[in-house]
Amino acid sequence: MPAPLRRLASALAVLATAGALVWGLMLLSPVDPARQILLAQGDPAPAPAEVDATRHELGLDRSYPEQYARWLTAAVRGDFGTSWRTGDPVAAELAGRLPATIRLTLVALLFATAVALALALPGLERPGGPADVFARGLVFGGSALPVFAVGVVLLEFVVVGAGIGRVVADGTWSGALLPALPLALGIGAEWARVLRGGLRDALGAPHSETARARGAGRLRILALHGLPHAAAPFLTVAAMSAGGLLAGAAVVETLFTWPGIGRLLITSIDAGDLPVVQAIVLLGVVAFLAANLLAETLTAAIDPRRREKR
Amino acid sequence: MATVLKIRDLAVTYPDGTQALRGVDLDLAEGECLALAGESGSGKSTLLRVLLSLLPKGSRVTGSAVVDDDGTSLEAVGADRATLRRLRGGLLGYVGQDPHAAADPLWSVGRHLREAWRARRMRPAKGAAEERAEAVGITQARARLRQYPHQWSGGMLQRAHIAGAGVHGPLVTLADEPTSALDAGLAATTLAVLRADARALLLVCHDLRHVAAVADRVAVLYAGRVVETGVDVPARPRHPYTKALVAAAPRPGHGLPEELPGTSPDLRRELTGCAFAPRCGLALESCHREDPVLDDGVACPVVPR
Ligand code: SF4
Repeated sequence: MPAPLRRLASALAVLATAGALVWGLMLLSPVDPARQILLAQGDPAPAPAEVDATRHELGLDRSYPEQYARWLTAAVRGDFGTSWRTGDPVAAELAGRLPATIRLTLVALLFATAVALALALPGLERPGGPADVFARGLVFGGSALPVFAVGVVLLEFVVVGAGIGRVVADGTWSGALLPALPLALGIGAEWARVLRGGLRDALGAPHSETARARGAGRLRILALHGLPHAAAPFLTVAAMSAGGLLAGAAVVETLFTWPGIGRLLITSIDAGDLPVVQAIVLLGVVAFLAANLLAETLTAAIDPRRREKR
Repeated sequence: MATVLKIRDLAVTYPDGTQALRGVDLDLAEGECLALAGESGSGKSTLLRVLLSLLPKGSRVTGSAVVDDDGTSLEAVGADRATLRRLRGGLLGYVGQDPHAAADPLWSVGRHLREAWRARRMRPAKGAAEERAEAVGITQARARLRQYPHQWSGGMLQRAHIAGAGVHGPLVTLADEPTSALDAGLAATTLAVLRADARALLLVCHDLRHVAAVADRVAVLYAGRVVETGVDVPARPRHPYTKALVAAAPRPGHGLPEELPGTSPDLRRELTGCAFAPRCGLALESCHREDPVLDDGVACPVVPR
């Protein structure tokens, strides 16, 4: 099987497994979904007949495999059922929150890239020199900082103390700058470590030496030899940290009352709103797999040796 | 023939204190091939790196290395940016050791070749890269240059490097053990191609046998000094070290090679007297105190002149 197809197939297999596990949560729940939905839709005391009718409507009177198949096909179409908390379709709940989270994530990724470059590049000229040691110290400190702590400090001193930014964030681009910082710092430091390693390997390689001997300037070698080589390990790690980003988003969004998916997840867990939790977890898995798939595809596009093995 | 490269009293100390070169004098004439022989650590690669200013930061270089281009003299020791731009890839061509390591695996061979122009902010004329490739014996250049290094054999890829080094018709080509990664048969042809393509060739080579076929002259380095130079060194070594080096090389019909006794000296310490003295069977008492000077091509008082 060609490599891109193989990658896609394995991603789908992971997704199917994750889907089965997520669906399985429903079996473990002591709550009767039909009754719960009627309650959420404003019926304070649903009559047993009504509950039975809803249960039939939801297909909960069918066999488990059948239920799973129905749930899965609906999920693929983006239908995750009805929220037990609000009685609204889960998809609508998510759609309302998704843009804010995407904004926050993109700004955080941008910051993290900036942090990674800022920490990785200055030390390259003289490994072990002052700039390198300083940057490595920052990398170490940065990756040790918990998202939560940075968030609290920012909130306390920058927002409340200095009056910059808003305590209640509104989900806009400009509002994303501050909450994105705690998300970006740790990831950026981790990326810097990988980027620095990749760049040092590439710039120390004999082919970079050849380029120097042919008269190529420092920046030219960095841009044309160094960065493409560092890209492969960097992309791999960046994609892996997509998972961490999701977890961090839950913390940051709650802290900054950011109207995104992460906060919705926490709220839904608190409220025992299983369908929403299921949808968010699956969304996270999809995002993670998509990021990895993208990274692998890009890596293969950069490296002819990998292209060949297809 | 005009001297194109004049090295005088060249000394290099690496940041860790290693004295890689300790006062080297060498001349290279136009059209000549001078081979630098010696064990690893003798300083021969360092010599090439000084000329191209590729030493690690913090290395100390003294003495002089002048590239003489038709009356214009360029000092390579402590060269400024402008001089470096004229030297690297311009007056000085460079061919590295392992052709595959010296090629960026993410670049096509053609891109490497064209980089010889682009690195110097020029644009290769249409077909110029293919022409260069064919000049060093790469057939079907158009199609082959589109391939990547891992699809090429070592010998052919080294030819591509030779082509790249020679793009701007360098006055001196510096080759750092260009055949050490190739098998013997390929090594000979590759050296021949290199020799034919270069105007003057400074060839670093640890294997004296390969040297004999292409080099007009050989300089043997030991512990950062030239201990012997001459045209006939591989066949008729005179210096005790060179003799040991030749005896250490496996030759068919000569029985087992004799291993060089002892180890190379620690170059981080100040050396007095002949650096080879601890390993030399002929050492006199004075050898440990007095620096032997290069006289009649050999730096050793016991060699008959
Ligand atoms: S100078 Fe003395 S120690 Fe050195 S090679 Fe000659 S004889 Fe041996």
